[in-house]
Amino acid sequence: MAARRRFLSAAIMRCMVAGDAANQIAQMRRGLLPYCVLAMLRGTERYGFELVRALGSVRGMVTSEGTIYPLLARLRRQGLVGTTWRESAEGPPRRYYTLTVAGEAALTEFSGAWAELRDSVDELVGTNKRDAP
Amino acid sequence: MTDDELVADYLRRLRRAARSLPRERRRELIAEISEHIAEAQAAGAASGDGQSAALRNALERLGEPRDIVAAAGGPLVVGRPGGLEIAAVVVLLLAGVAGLVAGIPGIVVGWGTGVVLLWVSPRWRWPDKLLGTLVWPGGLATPLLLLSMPASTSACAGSSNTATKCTGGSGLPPWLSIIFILVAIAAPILVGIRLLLRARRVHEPGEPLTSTVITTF
Repeated sequence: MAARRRFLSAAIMRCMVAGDAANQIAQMRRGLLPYCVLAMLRGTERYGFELVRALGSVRGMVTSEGTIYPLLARLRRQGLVGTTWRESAEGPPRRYYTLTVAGEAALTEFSGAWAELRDSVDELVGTNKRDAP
Repeated sequence: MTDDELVADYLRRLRRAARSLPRERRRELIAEISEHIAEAQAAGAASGDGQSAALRNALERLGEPRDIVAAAGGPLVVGRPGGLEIAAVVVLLLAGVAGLVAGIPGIVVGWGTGVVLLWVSPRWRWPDKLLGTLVWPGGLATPLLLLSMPASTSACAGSSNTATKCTGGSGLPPWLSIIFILVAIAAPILVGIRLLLRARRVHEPGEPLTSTVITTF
């Protein structure tokens, strides 16, 4: 356990020495993206194009919209989202994505942990001062 | 380029990049991206922006096909081959052993079992499966059997009186049959090694939702 922690902190230090904050942020964004996809499906179903466009329009979230499709496929394999085909008024049938019960649970768990982590990091880094009176 | 050419070109690049994906995922990805493009064109036509402009914008936002495929492949997890894969290779190579016990039916059943295991496994793509199928029935036992044949013909040639029965056996010059036998032994072994190496690669992204992944460090 201690050895593992030592290994990890050494690895983290190496990354920081490499000094590539942008790269680290990109990694974090990649890790957060699945939960953002789940969040977009909370209480509503969306078809692929609609979902991808909505996510792609959020600033700084996705650089290439096409990469959301493999992510959706993975979430479906993990049983976190479900799909149904539905006729559309204009054009061919569409594949709609919905949140499954497991997806909802994952999202709830994430929301709590994220709020805590976000506040802690804000406090440590000092990024919460901006909003202070 | 016309709109149709633009779409065709994009999908062609996507298809080429997606070759590394398992067939099911490749097909799904290409279908979804095609639908996305069609939706974007329809939306552009409806909103009055113009179908052409909407298309160009959509392709740019979709990003490079190779990036999309990289996202589908995720970080490659290199693991060990599974029990199924090891069993398939062992059975294919050693099917001839079954032949020692049960003769030709034994070889057929042994080799057949190996081929079934090979095609059932999700770890191999079809070119590798085909390659494994082409390992001759009997696996390594077949060249070993061939190896014993020149010995028997030479022994037979030694008893000179009945030579007419034996000369028809093998018309190959000795050096050629040696090369043939070496290839016959090396080929299944190399195929086996290749199959085992390929079985290690799993195109499953490190699942960030169910386990902590630290592969990024």
